Amino acid sequence: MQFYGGGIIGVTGPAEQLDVLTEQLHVEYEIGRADDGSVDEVAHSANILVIDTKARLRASLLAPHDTDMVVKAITQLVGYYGT
Amino acid sequence: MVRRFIMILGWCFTIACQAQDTVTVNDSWIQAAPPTAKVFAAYMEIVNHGDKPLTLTGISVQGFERAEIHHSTIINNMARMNKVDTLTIAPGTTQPFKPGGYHIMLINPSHSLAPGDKLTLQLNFAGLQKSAVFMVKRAPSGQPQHHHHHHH
Repeated sequence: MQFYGGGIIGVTGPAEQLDVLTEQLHVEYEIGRADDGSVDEVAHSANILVIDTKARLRASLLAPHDTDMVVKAITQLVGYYGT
Repeated sequence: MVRRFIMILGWCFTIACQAQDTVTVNDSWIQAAPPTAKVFAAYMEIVNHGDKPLTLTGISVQGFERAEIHHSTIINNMARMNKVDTLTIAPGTTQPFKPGGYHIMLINPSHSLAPGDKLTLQLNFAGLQKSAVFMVKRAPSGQPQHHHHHHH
């Protein structure tokens, strides 16, 4: 994940464990498979969830994501809630 | 015999010229990804200069297990990416392949790609083929990053 930026952390694991997290956050995902078993479609929620340092969900930013708007929204959230 | 050979040669040259005249590929590039990436996304513009529809049926590339045409959409806040078997480009139109839309997925590389590398892709259309050189580079600022689905 360092390729994308020093502050980015990746999370992965068995689907059963990930589902515990995604269900709490109301994140949906689907994996479609062709007849031969290969993946031919992937879908997932497109919103960005903003969670503070005490694990509280503060905002859900819906797609599409304009970079300037995302920066503005997160700056406002930090200004309102603090870090 | 010689005349027949020249005729066949001329016919082949005509077919090659038709391929060159009918389709052009612009702004071809591959989005740089981490050295461990199992998939890379390729983008371009395909221009159909002809007077007939042009159908892209597949991509051939060396150094990867396979290449596929994919389409990304975001509808009702769901990001979706699905494989596309063929894509028809209407006469006189330009079909963009860009982040967030159609793109080429290069799957399971035999070696990684770094910014500055070049890769030749062969675009297989119904009735003709076209090769294009793609440069590996980071996504331009402000463009959405491709979501790499590592479970392909």
